[in-house]
Amino acid sequence: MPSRRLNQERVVLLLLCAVIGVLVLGPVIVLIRTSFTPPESMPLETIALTLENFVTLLVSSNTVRLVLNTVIYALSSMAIGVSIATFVAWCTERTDMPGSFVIRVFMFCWMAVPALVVGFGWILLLNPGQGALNVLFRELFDVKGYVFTVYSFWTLVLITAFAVVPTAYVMIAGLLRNMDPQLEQASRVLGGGPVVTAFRITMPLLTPGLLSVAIYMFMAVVQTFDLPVIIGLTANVPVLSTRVYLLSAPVNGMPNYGLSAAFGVVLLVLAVGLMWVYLYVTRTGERFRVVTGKAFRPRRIALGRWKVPVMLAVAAYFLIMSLPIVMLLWISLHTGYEKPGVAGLENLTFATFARIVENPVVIRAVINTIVMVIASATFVMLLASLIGWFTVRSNRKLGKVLDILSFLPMAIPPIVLVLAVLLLYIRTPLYGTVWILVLSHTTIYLAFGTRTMSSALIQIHKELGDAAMLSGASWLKSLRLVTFPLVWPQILNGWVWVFAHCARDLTVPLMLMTTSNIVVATALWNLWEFPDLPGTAALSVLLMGTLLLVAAPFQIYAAYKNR
Amino acid sequence: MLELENLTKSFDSRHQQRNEPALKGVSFRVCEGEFFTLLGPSGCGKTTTLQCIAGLEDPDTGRIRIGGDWVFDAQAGTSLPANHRGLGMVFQSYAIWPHMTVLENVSFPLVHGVRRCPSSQVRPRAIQALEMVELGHLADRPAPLLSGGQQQRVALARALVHEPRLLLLDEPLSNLDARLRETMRTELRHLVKNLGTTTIFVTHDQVEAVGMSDKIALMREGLVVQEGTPRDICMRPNDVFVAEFIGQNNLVDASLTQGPPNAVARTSFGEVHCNANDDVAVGERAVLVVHPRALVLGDDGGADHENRFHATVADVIFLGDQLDVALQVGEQVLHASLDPFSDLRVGDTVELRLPAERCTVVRGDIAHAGSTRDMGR
Repeated sequence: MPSRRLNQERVVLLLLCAVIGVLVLGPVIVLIRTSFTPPESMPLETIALTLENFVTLLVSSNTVRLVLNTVIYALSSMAIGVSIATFVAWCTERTDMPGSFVIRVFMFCWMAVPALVVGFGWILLLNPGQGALNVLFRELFDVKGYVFTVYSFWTLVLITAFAVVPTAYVMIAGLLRNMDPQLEQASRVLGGGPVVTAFRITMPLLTPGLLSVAIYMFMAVVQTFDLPVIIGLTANVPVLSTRVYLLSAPVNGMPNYGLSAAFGVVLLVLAVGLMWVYLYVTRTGERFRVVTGKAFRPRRIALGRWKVPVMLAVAAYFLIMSLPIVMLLWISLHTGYEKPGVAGLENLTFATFARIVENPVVIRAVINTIVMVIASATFVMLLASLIGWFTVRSNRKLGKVLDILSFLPMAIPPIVLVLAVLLLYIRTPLYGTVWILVLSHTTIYLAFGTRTMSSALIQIHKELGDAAMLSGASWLKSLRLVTFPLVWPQILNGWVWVFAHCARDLTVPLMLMTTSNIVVATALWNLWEFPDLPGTAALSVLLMGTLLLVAAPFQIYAAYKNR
Repeated sequence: MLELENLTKSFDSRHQQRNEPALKGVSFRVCEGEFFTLLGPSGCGKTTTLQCIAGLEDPDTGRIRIGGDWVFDAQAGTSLPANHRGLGMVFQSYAIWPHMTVLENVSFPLVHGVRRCPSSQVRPRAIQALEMVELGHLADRPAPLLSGGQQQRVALARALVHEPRLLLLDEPLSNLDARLRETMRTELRHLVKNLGTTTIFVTHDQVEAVGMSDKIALMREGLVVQEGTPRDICMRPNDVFVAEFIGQNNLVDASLTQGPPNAVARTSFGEVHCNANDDVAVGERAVLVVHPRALVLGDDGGADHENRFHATVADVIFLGDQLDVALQVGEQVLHASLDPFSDLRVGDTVELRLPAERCTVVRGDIAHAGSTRDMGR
C-alpha cells in the first residue's frame, strides 16, 4: 500500500515549494548579503561583512532628496491619476453618459500599451527644442524658447499619472459596479436626497475601496522604472529605482553592486511597509462588505444639462492620451524627423518599417522576445494554477507557506528583484541568455498569476475534483481533466496579461542586457539612445500593434460580457 | 464489508469556529449489501466521516477497512488514495462536470479510472448505467443542459458504472424539490438494493433516514449516539438527544421511582407507568419520551386505570392530513397528532391515556437537548 508520505499531491507540493523558494528567496537573500559587502568587490566573492554601504547611504545628503523625490513623485502621480480614473469610472458606471462601452474597452486595451512607448511619444511632443507642440506654439503665437518641457518634475508626474489611469480605472469601475444598489436605494426611500445619499452613503462605503486602490497605485509608482529613466534622468529628477539602475550599470566606471544593493534594500523596506499598509487597509475594508461579487445593475444618474460638458471633459482626456501615440505613428511613417503638419503628408512612407524589420539586431530581438514572453507566460500560469489549487484547497501547513511565498514578490519592486537576480546569477551560464529574463519575469508576475488562479479556482466546487478522484482518476489527472479545463478562460486571460506585461517591460531586460539577450524593449532603448527616432517610432508602433492584436479581442469580449 | 475503528479528526482552528474535534472516536461496522445511514444535525461529523471513508480526508487516528483491505491506518501511516479505493460517490452538489457530455461524465471511471475496461466496452457499459437510471436517451446531451433531478441520476449512474464495492451518498436528495425527493427516495433504495451494493448514506433528514435505511447511526458532536434499525431509533431512543432529533416526541422532565421491569416515573402531572432504559438510575433526573401518536384521547374502554389524566385543549392546528393538538396536563403541555376528522376545540376537557408500552424514560436532561434539531445546512 502506498505510504501517506509519497502521494502525488505531496510530491508536487514539495517541488513547488522548492521552485518558488529558489525563485523568490534566493535573490532576496543574495541582495541583502551583497548590501553588506565592501564596495569594489563582486557579489558572492568575499566573506567580508561591512556596514560601509549603509553608512555611505546615510551620510549622503542625496539620500534624503532621493527618498523625498520618490515619495512626492509617487504621491502626486497617484493622486492625479486616481482622481481622473474615479471621475471617468463614475461617468461610465453610474451615469447615463453615452459611449461608456467604448471607453471601457479603450481603458482595458490601453493597459497593453507600453509606458516606455508613451514616454517616447511625450518626449517627441514636448521636448524643449524640437518638440512638436512647442514648435506649434512658436509658430502660432510667436513665442521664443519653449512653452512646455518634458524634462521637468511636474511633466514627469503628469505623464506618470496618465499611465496610472487605466489600471486605476479598471479597479475603481469594479468597485462601483459591484456596490449593492439597495444600500443607496434604502437611503433614498428613507428620505435622503441624491446629494445626501452620495455624501453620506456612497462615498463612505467606497472609501475603503478607493483607499486600497490609492495605496496600490502609490506602490506601483514607487516601483516604476521606465518613465523615470527616460524622462527623469534628463530632467535631473533621480528617484530610488533609477539610482539602483545607475549604480549597477553606470555610464562609465565599475558597477557598485554593494551600494546599489543597499539602495535596493531601502526600496524593498519601503515597498514592504506599503504592502503591509495595503493589506491592513484591505482587511479593514472587508468589514464593509459592499463588494459582494454579485453583478448588480445600479441605477444610473441622469446627467441632464451636464451631459455635454462631462462628455467634453472625457473626450479631452482621451485626446491627450492619444497624442503621443499619434506622434509616434507620424514619425514612424517618415524616413527622418518631420514636424507634423500638412506639408509632411507628401512624404508618408513605409520605408522606415521596411528598414527596421530587416535590421538583424531587431530580428534577433523579436525572436528573443517571442521566446521570452511565451515561456514566461506559460511558466507563470503553470505555477500559478498549481499554487492556486493548493492555496484554495489544501489545508496543509506547507500550502500556507506556498501562498505567502508566492505573494512575496508583490512587495519586491521589480528593479530590486532584477538587481538581486543579477547578483545571484551573474557568474552562471544563465546570465546573458533569454532564460534569465524568463526567470525574472516569472518571479515578478507570480503573485498576479496566483491571485488570478486562486480567485478562479475558489469558484469551482471542490466536489467536481473530488468526484474525479472517486471515479478512479489520480490527483494530477483530476486536475488535468476536470479542474483546470473548468478555469480555462481565466488561465488564458492570465496568460495574455503576463504575455503583454513581459513584452512591454523595460526594467528586466535593461538591467540584465548583454549583446546576446536583447529583446524588443531593449532594442527600442538602444535605437532611442543611438539616436534613431524614426526607427524607434516604427518599432514602437509594431510592438504596440502586436500587443493590441493579442490583448484587444479578450478585452472587448470581456467588456461585452460584463456590459 | 466496511469497518471504522475509533476515528478521530481535528481541523485547523481557522476552518472550524469551535476548536473542537470534528470526530471524537467514531466506530461502526457495515455488512455486505446493507443500506447504512449516518444521520445527524449539521456539524455532527457525518460528512467528515464519509470523506474519511472516501479518502478525501485523512483521520488523525484510527483505521478503516473496506472489504478485506485496511485502506487507512494512522498507526502504520498508510492511506490508500481515493482513486485506489474502488468506491462510487454521489456528491451533494452532484459534481457533474459541466465541460463534458452526459456520456463522457458516466464513462469517466471506465476510461480514466484505476480499473479500466477495454475501449469497446466503454460505451455499452455507460449506456447500460444510464438506462438503469432511465436516462439512456440523454447520453449525448451536454451536462449543463440537465435539470436537477436528471443531474442527480447522472451522478448516480457515474457512481455505479464501474461496479464499486461501496457506494457513498452525501445528502444526494437535499437539492431536489419536495415532490421529486419523495420519488427518488424509493427509487434510490430499490436501485441499490437490487444491485446489492453496500451503501453509506449521509443525511440530516430523519424522514429520509428512516424510510430508506437498513441501519442508522445517529451522530452528535463527533460521536455515534445510537446505532440500530430505524424502528429501534424511533421507538426505543437511548438518549434524550435521539428522542428530540427523531420525530416530534414530547419530552417531559421525569425521574424513576421504580426501575424496570414495571418502571414508574414521577412527572409534574403525576406518576406514569412506562418502559425505562437500563442506564437510567432510580431517582436520577431523566426524560420521559412520549410519541405524539401514542396519546389516546377520550374513554377508549381500556380496562386498566393507570396513566389516565385529565387534560384541557390549549391549542388546535389543522394541517390537512392531521390535527395537532396541544393538551394542558397540569403544568405540562403535551402535543398529540390526531386524525384530522376529530372535532376538538380550544377549551374542551378530555380524558387522556398514555399507554405504558409507548412511554420510555431515557437518560439526559431536557435543558441540554434543546435546539439540536437543526435542519438547515
